[in-house]
Amino acid sequence: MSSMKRLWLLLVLVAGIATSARAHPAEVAVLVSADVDAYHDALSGFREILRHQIVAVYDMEGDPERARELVEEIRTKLKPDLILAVGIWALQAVASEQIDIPVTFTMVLNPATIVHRGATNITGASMNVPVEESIRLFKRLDPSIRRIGVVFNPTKTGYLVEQARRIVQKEGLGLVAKEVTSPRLAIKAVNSLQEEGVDAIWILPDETVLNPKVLEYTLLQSYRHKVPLLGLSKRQAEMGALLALSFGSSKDIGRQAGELANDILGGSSPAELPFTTARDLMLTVNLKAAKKLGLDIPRSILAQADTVIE
Amino acid sequence: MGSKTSCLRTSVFFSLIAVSICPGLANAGGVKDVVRDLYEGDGITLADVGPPFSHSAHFTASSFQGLDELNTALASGAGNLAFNSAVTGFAFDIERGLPVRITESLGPLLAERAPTIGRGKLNVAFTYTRIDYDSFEGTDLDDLSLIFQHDDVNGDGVLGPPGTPLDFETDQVNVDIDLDFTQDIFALFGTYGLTRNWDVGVVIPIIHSDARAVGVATIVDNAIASPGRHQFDPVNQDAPVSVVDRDATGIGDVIMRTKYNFLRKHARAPDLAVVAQVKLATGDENDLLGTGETDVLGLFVASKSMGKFTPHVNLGYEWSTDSELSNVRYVVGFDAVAHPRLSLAAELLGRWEPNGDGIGDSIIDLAVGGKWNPVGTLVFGANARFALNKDEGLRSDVIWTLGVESTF
Repeated sequence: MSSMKRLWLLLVLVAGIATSARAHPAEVAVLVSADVDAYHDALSGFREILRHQIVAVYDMEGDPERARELVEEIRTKLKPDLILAVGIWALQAVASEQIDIPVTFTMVLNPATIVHRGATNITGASMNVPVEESIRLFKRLDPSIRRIGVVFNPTKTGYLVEQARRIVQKEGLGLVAKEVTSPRLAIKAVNSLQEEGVDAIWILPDETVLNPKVLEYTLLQSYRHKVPLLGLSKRQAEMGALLALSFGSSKDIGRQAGELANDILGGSSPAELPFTTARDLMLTVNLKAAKKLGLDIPRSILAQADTVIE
Repeated sequence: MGSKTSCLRTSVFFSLIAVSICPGLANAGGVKDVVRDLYEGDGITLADVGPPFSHSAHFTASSFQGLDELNTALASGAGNLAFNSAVTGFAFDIERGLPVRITESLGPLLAERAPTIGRGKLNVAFTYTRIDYDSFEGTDLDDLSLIFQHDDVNGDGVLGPPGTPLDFETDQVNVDIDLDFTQDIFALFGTYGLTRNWDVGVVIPIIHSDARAVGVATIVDNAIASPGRHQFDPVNQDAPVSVVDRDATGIGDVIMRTKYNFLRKHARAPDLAVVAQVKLATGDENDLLGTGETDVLGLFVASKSMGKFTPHVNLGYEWSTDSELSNVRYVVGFDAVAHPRLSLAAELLGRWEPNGDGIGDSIIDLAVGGKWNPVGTLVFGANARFALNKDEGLRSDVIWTLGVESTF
């Protein structure tokens, strides 16, 4: 190829890149589920990262009817380039309206249960703790832990258990998973976990299992059979769970959503961008529970802990 | 924001601010002068005294014994309703990953608490306060008295002296005064959430002041050399009994206010806010519809929800164009959830004038009451305010307030 032709090719390429870049910042509309500090923090993180313009912020105030009206207004009048759905209710409202506009969500737990597989315009940053982090924490806690027990409702957290099965296999562990459809059955399932001799119990972010009676019973069984329990929140650790792992920063989950939004508005398709999980985690260790269970917590875990209950 | 509801809320709020100030329906003499205008406001004139000192015996009040403070004692029962946050709120359930509606306490009675009402929200409230004044500086209003002294007839600077032919100058007229003074205050409050942390508001009070003074005069005959000279002449001069009855209705002192909540839901620290308030001299002071002064209040607010119990503290300083009225304000109180739709509250309220004139410089009241939320954001409230130090200033034993509010 002659040098002149190369030069022309280069010029055409540069021109193409220049014109493909946005002449103006894209417009983003935000729908917030409710007036909650965690959502405001997430939105703040989103704003930090976003390289485009937020043109409107709507609060659906927990009202599905209001959400429908707002989504309609966004779709027909505002017509933004992207919608940010903050919280589960906002995502449900947007997902149910089948709109073409790309959607990024943030601060949603178990988004796979809300966004159906066919929705190619939705992605986002979930609050979920990465499954591998939970599994590896068990392994670090005590090498004698071989079998991890979990009770779950397949319609709510079946996808997490699928992920967990793959990971425990890689880590050389076993997963004893009991399917339930109601809190009453969950209590029976916890009993059967003990009968099958699990070495640890893992609480999933599953509505069925988070029933107060089920939780209380699980904690009781943990102490009776000296089986360590990994919970979802500092509150559960304070209630008696040996460990708890949760997302550490709403703001960072918002930042993650901002990164996804920048990718989408830069040309990527939401379908190509998988949901993210929380990267900033918070670990709580209950030393009182450790004493009752006769367990020594490894220094590496104590060093990592954000809160130690003594 | 393109929401129609938000535009409507904004319009309503600024309509409230644009209310024009109507002149009060008043009396020529003014409600404030109801005591001063007894006996036509020019002292008491008795029957013509016969020879050798023929004159119309004229007695003048040497002092109103501080009753002029009646108008300045008007701290105004209106304008004490606080900015209260929206009735329903959300907490975040981290385990389930969703907001949960929580039952918040319905708010304090007369104090402020730190949280704001929320961006784009409009809170409208209406209150009625009845004040039936009972005492002034510890003296019952039906037990006041004035002393009228005789004029110095010969201009020698001495009344009498006793035992001389002019000792009738030592006679006095004592006037027992029974004063009834009430105020009905209807107040309209509007609060708008400019941002999540910043509220602005206006208070428009409409006041009806009603005062009735009855004076009963008796002659005190101190003369030795010339006793019995003075008598009433109700036909040609002042009668022993004088009645002045005045009332007025009009807009009181309008208040513009703003609150900024700069700390909320901290794990250990209370919620914190600052309030700034300007009270305009829009009420006619002559009719005791206002104080006649412009005041600026700066208030620091702290409150903390601890389950069903929310204590709160307010501390601030109000600057007045009349420096004697500048005062320190303080409130300590709490409100508590008694039932999901019922809150009870109690507050100790104080006001201290460091440069005061010695009358009513320190006022301390106790307020108790409750709020009921029957449906949606509609809230009904009632409270009673009790004077704890009745020997200070112009006081009512109990002040009742009823109110209704809603948030849109």
